[in-house]
Amino acid sequence: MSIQTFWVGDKQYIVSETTSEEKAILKEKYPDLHAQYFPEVSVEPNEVNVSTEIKPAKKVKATDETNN
Amino acid sequence: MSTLAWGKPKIEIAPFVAGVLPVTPTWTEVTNIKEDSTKLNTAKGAKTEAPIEGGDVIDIRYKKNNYSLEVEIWATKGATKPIVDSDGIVAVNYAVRLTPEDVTQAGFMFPKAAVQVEDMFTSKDGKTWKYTFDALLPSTGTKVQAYTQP
Repeated sequence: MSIQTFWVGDKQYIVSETTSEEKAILKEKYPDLHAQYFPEVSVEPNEVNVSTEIKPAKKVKATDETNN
Repeated sequence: MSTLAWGKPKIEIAPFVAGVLPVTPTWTEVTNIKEDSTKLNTAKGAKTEAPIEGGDVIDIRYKKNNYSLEVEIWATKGATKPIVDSDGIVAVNYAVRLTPEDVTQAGFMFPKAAVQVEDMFTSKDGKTWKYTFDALLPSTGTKVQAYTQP
Protein backbone atom coordinates (compact mmCIF):
# COMPACT_ATOMS: atom_id res chain seq x y z
CA MET A 1 0.00 0.00 0.00
CA SER A 2 1.26 3.48 -0.87
CA ILE A 3 1.44 6.18 1.76
CA GLN A 4 -1.44 8.64 1.41
CA THR A 5 -0.16 12.19 1.12
CA PHE A 6 -1.21 15.63 -0.05
CA TRP A 7 0.40 19.04 -0.39
CA VAL A 8 -0.59 22.48 0.77
CA GLY A 9 1.93 24.83 -0.75
CA ASP A 10 5.41 23.47 -0.06
CA LYS A 11 4.31 21.35 2.88
CA GLN A 12 3.63 17.69 2.32
CA TYR A 13 1.19 16.07 4.73
CA ILE A 14 1.38 12.34 5.33
CA VAL A 15 -2.16 11.46 6.30
CA SER A 16 -1.21 8.84 8.90
CA GLU A 17 1.29 11.17 10.56
CA THR A 18 -0.73 14.39 10.64
CA THR A 19 -1.01 15.74 14.18
CA SER A 20 -4.25 16.87 15.78
CA GLU A 21 -3.00 20.48 15.74
CA GLU A 22 -2.35 20.26 12.00
CA LYS A 23 -5.75 18.67 11.47
CA ALA A 24 -7.41 21.52 13.37
CA ILE A 25 -5.66 24.11 11.18
CA LEU A 26 -6.56 22.22 8.00
CA LYS A 27 -10.18 21.94 9.14
CA GLU A 28 -10.37 25.68 9.67
CA LYS A 29 -8.56 26.78 6.50
CA TYR A 30 -9.33 23.96 4.07
CA PRO A 31 -12.56 22.26 5.19
CA ASP A 32 -12.99 20.31 1.93
CA LEU A 33 -9.45 18.98 2.11
CA HIS A 34 -9.91 18.06 5.75
CA ALA A 35 -13.17 16.29 5.02
CA GLN A 36 -11.52 14.31 2.23
CA TYR A 37 -8.51 13.07 4.16
CA PHE A 38 -9.80 13.08 7.73
CA PRO A 39 -13.48 12.16 7.52
CA GLU A 40 -15.22 12.46 10.82
CA VAL A 41 -16.93 9.21 11.64
CA SER A 42 -20.32 9.80 13.20
CA VAL A 43 -20.74 7.60 16.23
CA GLU A 44 -24.16 6.02 16.49
CA PRO A 45 -25.15 5.15 20.05
CA ASN A 46 -25.07 1.42 20.63
CA GLU A 47 -28.38 -0.29 20.80
CA VAL A 48 -29.10 -1.36 24.35
CA ASN A 49 -30.91 -4.65 24.58
CA VAL A 50 -33.17 -4.56 27.56
CA SER A 51 -34.92 -7.78 28.17
CA THR A 52 -38.51 -7.48 29.34
CA GLU A 53 -38.76 -11.14 30.15
CA ILE A 54 -39.60 -11.72 33.79
CA LYS A 55 -37.74 -14.65 35.18
CA PRO A 56 -39.08 -16.50 38.23
CA ALA A 57 -37.13 -15.94 41.38
CA LYS A 58 -34.72 -18.68 42.39
CA LYS A 59 -36.04 -20.95 45.03
CA VAL A 60 -33.92 -20.88 48.16
CA LYS A 61 -34.15 -23.72 50.58
CA ALA A 62 -34.40 -22.43 54.10
CA THR A 63 -32.32 -24.32 56.62
CA ASP A 64 -32.30 -23.97 60.32
CA GLU A 65 -28.75 -24.05 61.55
CA THR A 66 -29.80 -24.43 65.14
CA ASN A 67 -31.18 -27.89 64.42
CA ASN A 68 -27.80 -29.34 63.33
CA MET B 1 -16.07 29.29 -6.86
CA SER B 2 -16.80 26.69 -9.45
CA THR B 3 -17.99 23.14 -9.19
CA LEU B 4 -15.41 21.84 -11.66
CA ALA B 5 -11.64 22.20 -11.67
CA TRP B 6 -11.63 23.45 -15.25
CA GLY B 7 -10.45 26.63 -16.92
CA LYS B 8 -7.05 28.27 -17.07
CA PRO B 9 -4.64 26.29 -14.90
CA LYS B 10 -1.61 27.66 -13.15
CA ILE B 11 1.40 25.42 -13.74
CA GLU B 12 4.54 25.74 -11.67
CA ILE B 13 7.80 23.86 -12.00
CA ALA B 14 10.75 23.44 -9.65
CA PRO B 15 14.06 21.77 -10.45
CA PHE B 16 15.66 19.11 -8.31
CA VAL B 17 18.95 20.11 -6.75
CA ALA B 18 21.56 17.42 -6.17
CA GLY B 19 18.95 14.79 -6.92
CA VAL B 20 16.28 15.95 -4.45
CA LEU B 21 13.48 18.47 -4.30
CA PRO B 22 14.71 21.19 -1.95
CA VAL B 23 12.73 21.84 1.24
CA THR B 24 11.96 25.29 -0.15
CA PRO B 25 11.81 24.70 -3.89
CA THR B 26 12.25 27.49 -6.41
CA TRP B 27 8.92 27.49 -8.21
CA THR B 28 8.60 29.14 -11.61
CA GLU B 29 5.22 29.71 -13.22
CA VAL B 30 4.93 28.52 -16.80
CA THR B 31 3.47 31.32 -18.90
CA ASN B 32 2.08 31.70 -22.43
CA ILE B 33 0.45 28.28 -22.34
CA LYS B 34 -1.40 27.46 -25.54
CA GLU B 35 -5.13 27.24 -24.95
CA ASP B 36 -6.48 23.75 -24.20
CA SER B 37 -3.01 22.20 -24.46
CA THR B 38 -2.68 21.20 -20.80
CA LYS B 39 -3.45 17.51 -20.38
CA LEU B 40 -3.01 14.99 -17.61
CA ASN B 41 -2.72 11.59 -19.24
CA THR B 42 -3.10 8.28 -17.45
CA ALA B 43 -1.59 5.12 -18.89
CA LYS B 44 -3.56 2.32 -17.36
CA GLY B 45 -1.57 -0.37 -15.61
CA ALA B 46 -1.39 -3.68 -17.42
CA LYS B 47 -4.12 -6.18 -16.62
CA THR B 48 -3.36 -9.84 -16.06
CA GLU B 49 -6.28 -12.24 -16.06
CA ALA B 50 -6.54 -15.76 -14.73
CA PRO B 51 -8.89 -17.48 -17.18
CA ILE B 52 -10.39 -20.89 -16.64
CA GLU B 53 -11.69 -23.40 -19.12
CA GLY B 54 -14.92 -22.10 -20.62
CA GLY B 55 -13.87 -18.49 -20.83
CA ASP B 56 -14.57 -17.25 -17.32
CA VAL B 57 -12.00 -15.30 -15.34
CA ILE B 58 -11.43 -16.17 -11.68
CA ASP B 59 -9.07 -13.34 -10.83
CA ILE B 60 -7.58 -10.17 -12.28
CA ARG B 61 -4.40 -8.40 -11.26
CA TYR B 62 -3.57 -4.82 -12.25
CA LYS B 63 -0.24 -3.08 -12.39
CA LYS B 64 -0.05 0.55 -11.29
CA ASN B 65 -1.01 3.40 -13.59
CA ASN B 66 1.55 5.82 -14.97
CA TYR B 67 0.97 9.51 -15.52
CA SER B 68 2.18 12.32 -17.72
CA LEU B 69 1.37 16.00 -17.93
CA GLU B 70 1.56 17.70 -21.30
CA VAL B 71 1.68 21.41 -21.84
CA GLU B 72 2.43 23.42 -24.97
CA ILE B 73 3.89 26.90 -24.80
CA TRP B 74 3.91 29.63 -27.42
CA ALA B 75 7.50 30.35 -28.41
CA THR B 76 7.06 34.09 -28.65
CA LYS B 77 9.72 36.39 -30.04
CA GLY B 78 12.63 36.69 -27.65
CA ALA B 79 11.21 34.12 -25.24
CA THR B 80 13.45 31.52 -23.68
CA LYS B 81 12.51 27.99 -22.78
CA PRO B 82 11.39 27.58 -19.17
CA ILE B 83 13.42 24.37 -18.97
CA VAL B 84 16.73 24.02 -20.75
CA ASP B 85 17.12 20.89 -22.87
CA SER B 86 19.56 19.30 -25.25
CA ASP B 87 17.69 17.81 -28.21
CA GLY B 88 14.72 17.30 -25.93
CA ILE B 89 16.66 15.75 -23.06
CA VAL B 90 16.51 17.48 -19.70
CA ALA B 91 19.34 16.59 -17.33
CA VAL B 92 17.54 17.05 -14.03
CA ASN B 93 14.23 15.97 -12.62
CA TYR B 94 11.53 18.50 -11.89
CA ALA B 95 8.53 18.77 -9.61
CA VAL B 96 5.44 20.14 -11.30
CA ARG B 97 2.19 21.28 -9.76
CA LEU B 98 -1.10 22.48 -11.19
CA THR B 99 -3.63 24.78 -9.59
CA PRO B 100 -7.06 25.00 -11.23
CA GLU B 101 -8.50 28.39 -12.19
CA ASP B 102 -10.68 28.16 -9.07
CA VAL B 103 -7.92 28.00 -6.48
CA THR B 104 -10.28 26.53 -3.91
CA GLN B 105 -10.34 23.36 -6.01
CA ALA B 106 -7.66 20.78 -5.35
CA GLY B 107 -5.05 20.55 -8.07
CA PHE B 108 -2.36 17.95 -8.37
CA MET B 109 1.37 17.63 -8.19
CA PHE B 110 4.05 15.30 -9.50
CA PRO B 111 6.66 15.55 -6.72
CA LYS B 112 9.18 14.00 -9.10
CA ALA B 113 9.08 13.95 -12.88
CA ALA B 114 11.30 13.34 -15.88
CA VAL B 115 10.90 16.03 -18.53
CA GLN B 116 11.01 15.84 -22.30
CA VAL B 117 10.87 18.82 -24.66
CA GLU B 118 9.68 18.91 -28.27
CA ASP B 119 10.30 21.84 -30.59
CA MET B 120 7.24 22.19 -32.78
CA PHE B 121 6.24 24.34 -35.73
CA THR B 122 3.20 24.66 -37.96
CA SER B 123 2.37 27.45 -40.39
CA LYS B 124 -0.92 27.85 -38.51
CA ASP B 125 0.57 28.29 -35.05
CA GLY B 126 4.19 29.16 -35.61
CA LYS B 127 6.70 27.85 -33.12
CA THR B 128 5.71 26.16 -29.90
CA TRP B 129 7.47 24.11 -27.23
CA LYS B 130 5.78 21.02 -25.95
CA TYR B 131 6.75 19.84 -22.48
CA THR B 132 5.93 16.36 -21.25
CA PHE B 133 6.37 15.60 -17.57
CA ASP B 134 6.43 11.87 -16.84
CA ALA B 135 5.67 11.20 -13.19
CA LEU B 136 8.30 9.21 -11.30
CA LEU B 137 7.94 7.52 -7.93
CA PRO B 138 8.90 10.11 -5.29
CA SER B 139 10.55 9.37 -1.95
CA THR B 140 7.19 9.60 -0.14
CA GLY B 141 3.72 8.85 -1.45
CA THR B 142 2.30 8.21 -4.87
CA LYS B 143 3.33 9.54 -8.28
CA VAL B 144 0.42 11.99 -8.41
CA GLN B 145 -0.53 13.77 -5.21
CA ALA B 146 -3.25 16.27 -4.41
CA TYR B 147 -2.06 19.86 -4.27
CA THR B 148 -3.79 22.90 -2.82
CA GLN B 149 -2.51 26.43 -3.15
CA PRO B 150 -2.24 28.01 0.32
